[in-house]
Amino acid sequence: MAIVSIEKATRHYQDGDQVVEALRGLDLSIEPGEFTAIMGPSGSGKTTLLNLIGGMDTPTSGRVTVSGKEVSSMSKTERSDLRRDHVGFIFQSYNLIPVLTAQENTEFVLLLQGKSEAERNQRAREILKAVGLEGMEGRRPAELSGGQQQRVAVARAIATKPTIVLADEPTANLDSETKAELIGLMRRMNEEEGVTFLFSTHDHEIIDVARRVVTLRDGQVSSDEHR
Amino acid sequence: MIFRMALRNLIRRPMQSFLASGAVAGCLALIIWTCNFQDGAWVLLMDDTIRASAGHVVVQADGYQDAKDSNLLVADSSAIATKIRQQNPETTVMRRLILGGMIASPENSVAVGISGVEAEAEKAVSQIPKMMVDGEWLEAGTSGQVLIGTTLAKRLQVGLGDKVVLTVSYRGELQALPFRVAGTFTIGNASMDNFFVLANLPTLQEMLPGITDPATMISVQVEGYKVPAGLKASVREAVGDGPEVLRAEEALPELFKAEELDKIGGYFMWIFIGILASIGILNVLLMSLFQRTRELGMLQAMGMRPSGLVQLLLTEGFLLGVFGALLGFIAGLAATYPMVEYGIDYGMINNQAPVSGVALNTLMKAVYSWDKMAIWTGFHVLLAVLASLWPALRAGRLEAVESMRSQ
Amino acid sequence: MYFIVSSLIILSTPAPAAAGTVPTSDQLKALLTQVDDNGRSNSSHVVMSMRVQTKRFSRKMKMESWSKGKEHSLIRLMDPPKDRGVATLKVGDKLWNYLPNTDRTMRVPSAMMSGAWMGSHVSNDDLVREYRLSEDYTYAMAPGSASLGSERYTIRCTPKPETPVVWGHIDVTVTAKGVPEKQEFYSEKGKKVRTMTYSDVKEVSGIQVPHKMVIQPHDKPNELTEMVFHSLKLNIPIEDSRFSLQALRD
Repeated sequence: MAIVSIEKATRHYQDGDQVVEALRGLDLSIEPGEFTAIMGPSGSGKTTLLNLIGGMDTPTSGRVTVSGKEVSSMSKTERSDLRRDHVGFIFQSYNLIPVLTAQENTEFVLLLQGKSEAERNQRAREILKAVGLEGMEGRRPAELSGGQQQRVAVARAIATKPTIVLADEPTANLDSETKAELIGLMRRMNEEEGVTFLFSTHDHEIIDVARRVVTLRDGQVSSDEHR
Repeated sequence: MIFRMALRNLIRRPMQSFLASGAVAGCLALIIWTCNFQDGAWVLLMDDTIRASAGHVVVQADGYQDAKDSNLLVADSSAIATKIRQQNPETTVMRRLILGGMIASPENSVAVGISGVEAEAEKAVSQIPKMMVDGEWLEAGTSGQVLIGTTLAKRLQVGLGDKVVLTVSYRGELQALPFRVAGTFTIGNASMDNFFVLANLPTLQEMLPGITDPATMISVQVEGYKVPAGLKASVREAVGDGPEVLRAEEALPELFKAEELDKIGGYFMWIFIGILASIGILNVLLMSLFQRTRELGMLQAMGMRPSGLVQLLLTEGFLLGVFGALLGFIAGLAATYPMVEYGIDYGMINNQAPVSGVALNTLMKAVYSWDKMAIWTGFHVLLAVLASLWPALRAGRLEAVESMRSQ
Repeated sequence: MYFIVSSLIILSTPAPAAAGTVPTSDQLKALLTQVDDNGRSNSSHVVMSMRVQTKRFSRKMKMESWSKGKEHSLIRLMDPPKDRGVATLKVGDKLWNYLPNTDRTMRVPSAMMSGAWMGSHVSNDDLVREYRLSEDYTYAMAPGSASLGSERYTIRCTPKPETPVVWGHIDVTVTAKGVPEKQEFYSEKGKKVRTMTYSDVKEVSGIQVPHKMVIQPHDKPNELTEMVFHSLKLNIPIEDSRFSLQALRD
């Protein structure tokens, strides 16, 4: 059963006098365990799609269902809870809460879920170790390199064992070596932990390892390639 | 964690946070200082005025309070005073005779208010003995002495030992007696230095025909500021029917009204200052809201509810408030300390009493008004939280996707 | 000070002191009694003018006055027209003013007794004070009196300690016949404060009466108040009702 299903989703923005049609009747469904890359030129609707799936935004028309829940009819708070319990986000940059340590950043969503301190602590250590940041738990984002920051972002995104991790160009600001490490890490998490990843990216190194590549053009799926 | 985030968010912007809590601290310190000073000033002012112009309980001829007619006098005043003393041995009882009239020298004559006082008792409660410029305070048992203000002395062109003639009118009869200037004083209040004449009670009593041992008031005073609840009833019992017996609040309603008005005025000023402080907080939180929009969007992306964001910003406001209030409290105390220990002698600039005819102590000291300080401190924390309410609610209304888009 | 108008009306009885000899204390007292007693037990009616010269203004007014004994008198302005009808009534030591344009009668309160009467150098208080040189003062020949010759004396009157007057002493110059010529008022420090000069003596009903008096304050050398009697009648019948508040307004 699909964990994410999108039917005829449209999303229109008002930009000054113009209406921008970011999505124009898009259909897509994601199965558990996928490692899917979404590509397409700028303005093709990649980020909008991720925002709809993550409940950050609602469709102008059509349906978006995550874990069997209809996102478009949810209140703001319900969408917050959806993200908290089912969605992990990794962004291109500024991913972390600057005033919290790596450990605290990782624990943060668990805290929002109301997990006990002991459980949070243990889970965060585990995950940080898994992403290779053992010994750096006490560092603040400013004390970490860009690659290390993105690892913390990954750790945080998967700490709650979300239904899906949405990664919006996660490698865009990294050098190629770090990029490869991060992609390897996510791939590993996908294989070992069964975390579902959905990327928006231009990055061929991700597209190369993705098992499904969806291409968007003008707010619609122009190709959907399973490998 | 929210608390920790809030705290660290504040520490992350030390300058802004310091300014915001500094605004709270500054305002609170100012309020605490002025409040303590105002309270202290009023304690002294009330005490001086009550003691010098009425008493904690005062006995006057029936109707005097309303008419303030100097013809309304209590006869046989020392007998009544003695009775009051016997019933209330812990009190000080003194009599005063207050008349309108005229003082004349060869050079000039001037309309004046004349107070006949019991020299020793009055010396203990009046501020004028400390304000003598020339000569000495009245000597008990000496007749024909007057004390006048320096301005009056100048107008009359008289000095120590010179003859002046006092004329008073009682029940339509004019009575005149020669006096000698035994001293001059400067109170610092132009009308009093020009208007106020002091003489020994017995001498002044001689000027009034047809009434034995008259007094305008018999003032009953206790030590300190705490007036026993039963004092009025007890004095009433000693006095019997006839004269009116009033508590200070009843005898000096204008004084208590003035205090009330002054303090209400103070509240308005303090609330205004408090609003300034909260504008400081509001400003800092709004600034940080704009600067942190993306960060707040990320918190939303991670699943923090709108209410969580509200809570975060309120906590920041609260912390700013607590920190500022703590700082302000300490600063206010520190500023109050010298005022309590040494006071300010505002000197002869403007010795303006709310009740005319009272020379006030010019050395004003503050008191520690702990209850008010506590209330104001709490009020500032509350203000800080209230001030953060708007930014907090704005944060709660942010659309995640919009805030993520901002840089 | 005694009542102004009355003070001008001096009963001139034969002088008790023989000319050219130094008067005895009793003779001095008799002279002062004459100055004090000036016919106040009698009634009078007078038309007079008063001229007041001060630093700020100069005004001249004409007035009519009735008196009976030392307790009662009434003065009413006749001129200038704007002040016509303004009146002052004295009964005992009380004083009332009447202002016709506001139709108000006002008792002069004790605090205002120091104010100038009609803007002159006479205070309201001067109008009502009653002290007698012959009783409330001690007296002796003033130094230098002898140089005046035999026709007049200067008597130095010093207030008794209990007498409530501001003066240190008053030098009264009186003719041997008991007609006052001059009173000089001194402070206790010996400073001359003001002088009253009497002149223009005429006989009315067989009594020698000065018809002109000038009051001069010495601290204001350019100021003075001058009073001149135009007509004077003595010992005429006057109803007591003339000295009532009702009459004040008429």
